[in-house]
Amino acid sequence: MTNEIEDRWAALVAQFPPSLTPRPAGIDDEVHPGQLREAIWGDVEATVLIIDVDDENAEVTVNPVSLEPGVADEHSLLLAAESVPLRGGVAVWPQVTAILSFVVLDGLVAELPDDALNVIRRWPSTARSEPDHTDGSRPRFGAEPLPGSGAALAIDDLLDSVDGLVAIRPTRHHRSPGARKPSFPLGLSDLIMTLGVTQSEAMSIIRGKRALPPGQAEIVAHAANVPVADVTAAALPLPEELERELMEPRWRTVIRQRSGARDETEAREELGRSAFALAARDKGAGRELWRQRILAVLVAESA
Amino acid sequence: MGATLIRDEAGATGQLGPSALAMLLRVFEDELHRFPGLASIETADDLALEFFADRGTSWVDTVLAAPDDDTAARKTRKWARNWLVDLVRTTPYGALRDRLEKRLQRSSLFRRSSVAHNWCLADGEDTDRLVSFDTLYATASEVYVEVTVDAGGRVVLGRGQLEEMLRRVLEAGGRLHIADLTYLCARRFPSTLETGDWLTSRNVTAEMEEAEDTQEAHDVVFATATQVADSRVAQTIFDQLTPTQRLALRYLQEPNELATYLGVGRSTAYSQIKQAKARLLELAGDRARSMQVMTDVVALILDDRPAVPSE
Repeated sequence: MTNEIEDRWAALVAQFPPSLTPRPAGIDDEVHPGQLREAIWGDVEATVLIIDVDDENAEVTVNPVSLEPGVADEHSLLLAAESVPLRGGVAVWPQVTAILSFVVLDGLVAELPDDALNVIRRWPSTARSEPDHTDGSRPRFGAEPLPGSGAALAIDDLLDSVDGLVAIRPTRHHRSPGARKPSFPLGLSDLIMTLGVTQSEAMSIIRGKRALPPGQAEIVAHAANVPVADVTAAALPLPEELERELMEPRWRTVIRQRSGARDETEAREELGRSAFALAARDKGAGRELWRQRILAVLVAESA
Repeated sequence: MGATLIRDEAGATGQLGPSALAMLLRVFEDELHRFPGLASIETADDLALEFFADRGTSWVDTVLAAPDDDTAARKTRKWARNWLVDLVRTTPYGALRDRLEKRLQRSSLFRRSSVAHNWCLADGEDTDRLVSFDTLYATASEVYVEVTVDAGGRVVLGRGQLEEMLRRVLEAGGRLHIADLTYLCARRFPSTLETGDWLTSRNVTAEMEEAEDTQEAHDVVFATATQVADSRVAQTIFDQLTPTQRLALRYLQEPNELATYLGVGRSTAYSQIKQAKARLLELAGDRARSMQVMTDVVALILDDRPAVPSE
């Protein structure tokens, strides 16, 4: 790398500072309409504007969004730098709506002020009514991207990515109350000996609060002379409220870090297991409590 | 999820740091391979910094919106590709606009409107007409225009025929901005924007421009009106189509099938179909002829059993 490149770079970064200070996701971050968020799963990603939030089902209704200059077509609405915290402006497609699960949402990019959000929600009736003919001073089809142009490629990619993200749906377990949990196939002292775990760890396992990784489940199955499925079936599904809390974007960064090459869903379940194991009692849970327990797990691990 | 050096550095200094620079240069180093004509005259590093200067804060914000370095690189790669695609198309688009203006100027059928950059019929009214782009495109598609390639590799639009097409378009549109006419022609004749060698369009000389208007074009590659019924026409058209275009015509009515075969999303598949149809129209000469040869062309495609393109 030459000095010239570095000098030019230095001048450019000075000329173009970020519109917003990057800050990590806060533990109290909520999902709100008006938020521009990154949505990502695997290597599919798109920036989206949240129009509506369905808190119970952990889903959001979104419009696709592009920050890329020049990317617009006859169906997009351009929000200029005055209406949005991003200095380069933003294009939204108000009539393209998609429903995404919370689990694909990641960090907050920016927040739209209410009046901008309202304009978008009521589109196209809020469109400035322009007659089809102009006075000729500007081209009529100026906003249309040519097939094969950079803008056309970007729009196709954005819409295809949103389609891909729509397909990501976590399975949510609804526990029927009073369902009998199958008992763990090994007794306490045998389990302690077989796996070499402490008594409290063994208790968690037997109560079904801690699920065994596949290797350990096999060891236990062998010792108890039962199929592995009998061992894994003894683990309780995570409480609904805990599952729901784990879907919040505030945990996304942590879950992505922990998953590495594995499926995120697995990493999410695992974090849930750890929080579940911390719970002293089953009753009196609730989202806020689970949030604290998950936090406690993370704090304990980093200690 | 991987490293977050780019974001970390920005958090510390309030600006993009060395990891972002390294990523940008690496992306352009990779992407430039797709544009060999460009690579012969510009360096990746120069283009990377030009890109930054052009995209400015929008690119910075997008990079920092990414949750990790890999995603930031992926976004940058997409932006870089789109930017480079436009870069190599700018010159032919500008050249098309210039050539179009010359043809309008030299024909007695047209005159400049009182509104700057607009054109209207010489014997027509200098006013706008309420008309959609689709109507203008349909009008343009009905007129037979022969598309040939001259000795210099430049696409030539049939003498007299293009003028007739423009006449009908302006009849429908009243007066139109040159940018709209250029856009219309680029849509109607997609090959005018294709440059195998980006340098070719820069080397267009005044003599070649004259030649277009005063001589018959050499190297007539495509069919003339008398050969329309000939099945050799379908073969000629078939030979000019790319594998992707053939696949798109094969699955004209089934964009989801096409999406699967190409390994792309629905939107991209729709766009491919649209482009393939425009190319077929251009090759056949006009809409009526493209409809006539369509069956034969698709039959050839089915016989050919093309492999799925690897692009």
